Amino acid sequence: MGLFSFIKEAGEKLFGAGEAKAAQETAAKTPTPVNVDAANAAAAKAIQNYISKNNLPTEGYDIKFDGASGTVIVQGNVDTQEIKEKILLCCGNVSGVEAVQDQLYVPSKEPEARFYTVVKGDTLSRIAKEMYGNANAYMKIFEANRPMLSNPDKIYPGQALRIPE
Amino acid sequence: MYSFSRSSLVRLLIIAGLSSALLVACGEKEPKVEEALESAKTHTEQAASEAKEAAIDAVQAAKEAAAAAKEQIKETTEATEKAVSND
Repeated sequence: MGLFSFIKEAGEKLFGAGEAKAAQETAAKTPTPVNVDAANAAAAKAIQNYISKNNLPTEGYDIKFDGASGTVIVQGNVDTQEIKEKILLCCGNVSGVEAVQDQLYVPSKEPEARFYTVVKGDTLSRIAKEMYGNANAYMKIFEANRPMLSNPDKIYPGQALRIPE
Repeated sequence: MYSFSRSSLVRLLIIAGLSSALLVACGEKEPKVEEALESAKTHTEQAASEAKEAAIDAVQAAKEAAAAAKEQIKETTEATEKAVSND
């Protein structure tokens, strides 16, 4: 449980327009509470869809987004600590998200992974050397962050990663 | 010592021949299976990437909506205060 901070502009910048853009324009023209709530709900739904596309479960918990604070609130139950941490990472690594409020419960007590924020010039080998004292252990970090990471070389500054024990 | 009849020997040869043919066929298909797996992986990554793009857009939209609402409240408050002070 807790609040995880993320670097809001750190997420992968992948540009595109669509329904979200239309929602933005509508809400910007008439920022009524209803339109703001609708925009928040659309953001939460889009984040949930992103989680789903990473083959992670989307049932048993709710996702909410608060545009005023840039915070994602994740509330409910998941099966394992690993799933919980991957869900939190999916939420936090979306560009624009500033914090993730973790209210996810795991039925059994499992070791928690550490989180590491990538800095400029980092490689998984360098992180593995820092975390485990062994650069060759980079695959352990890669595997712990799949499928969000598709390639050990594709990391970016500001990205949060799970570092298992 | 085993003694094979001629028909048993022929059957054994046929089985051996078929097994070899199957092995060759599987060997030829292996790259195709790998290609299909690679294609599925690429497709999954693409879908996740597009979903992330949509999430980024939606988060941005929600933040701008919240900022616009805040600005509107501020303007309304200021207008009200001005109206009250003019009375």
